Amino acid sequence: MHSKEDRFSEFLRRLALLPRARDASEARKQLERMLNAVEDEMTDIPNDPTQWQSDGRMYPPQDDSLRLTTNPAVMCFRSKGHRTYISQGGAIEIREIPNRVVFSKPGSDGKTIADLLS
Amino acid sequence: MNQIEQLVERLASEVPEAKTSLDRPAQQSGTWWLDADLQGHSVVTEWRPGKGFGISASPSRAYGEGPDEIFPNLQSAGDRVIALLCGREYTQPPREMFLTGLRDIRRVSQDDLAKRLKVSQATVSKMERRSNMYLTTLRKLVAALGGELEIRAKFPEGVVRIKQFG
Repeated sequence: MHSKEDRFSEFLRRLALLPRARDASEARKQLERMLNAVEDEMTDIPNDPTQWQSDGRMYPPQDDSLRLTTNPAVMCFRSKGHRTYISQGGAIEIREIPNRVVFSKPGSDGKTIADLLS
Repeated sequence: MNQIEQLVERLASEVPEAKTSLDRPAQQSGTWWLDADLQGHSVVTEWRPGKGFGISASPSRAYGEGPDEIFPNLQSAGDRVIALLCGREYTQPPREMFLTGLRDIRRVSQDDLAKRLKVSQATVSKMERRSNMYLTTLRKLVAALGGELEIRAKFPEGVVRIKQFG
């Protein structure tokens, strides 16, 4: 099985190659599709997001981890070590906690999360 | 005051040097997060109302991964967070694998394992596909791979090793 670092890098590489998302819904679908594909291809761990305790698999943002931000056009999903921001315009940003940006991509409106939260 | 806010209060009282940050969900019923740090050693606690607490203290935090440990109530979760912070301990994700995976990481072929167990390779193949087997058989199989079988029961108050079976 590939290391989590390798799988995360591959997930970010594939996410960057996709066209800019039109809106938040498409951005979230891109995240889910890419991460699930990478985990299905690079691990033998079944996809079971209802499994709460770590099973070694990386899961895309879940509904119950939604948070509000200072801008109503930007939503945030918290996980153990990251925050994933998605804008209504389709921008995506992943920050390692406390605040290191590890991935950023503008939405179809050309705006990044940093533009919207500054 | 909800359960994770009570945990924040307990930390403030019992480990006043620890820095804490509570991350609230958009919905009250959503998942709450508490980041606690004591002199550079951090413990992340996740609270799911109605489900319990998830706790992780690890230098590596993979994206979207679940917590390493689960605790059903506030008392046991608080005890664990304080022990991890003050003892500067790390948690480990649970390791689970099927027998075939275990044999693979021990770099033992089915043929080799069969010789060690004095059975046929076909018998080993069947054993690896079973969903149930005698403890004595499992103990021999684990021993043939160089390990020792232990049986433990996990309770909210802690883990007990069961000695009944030798």
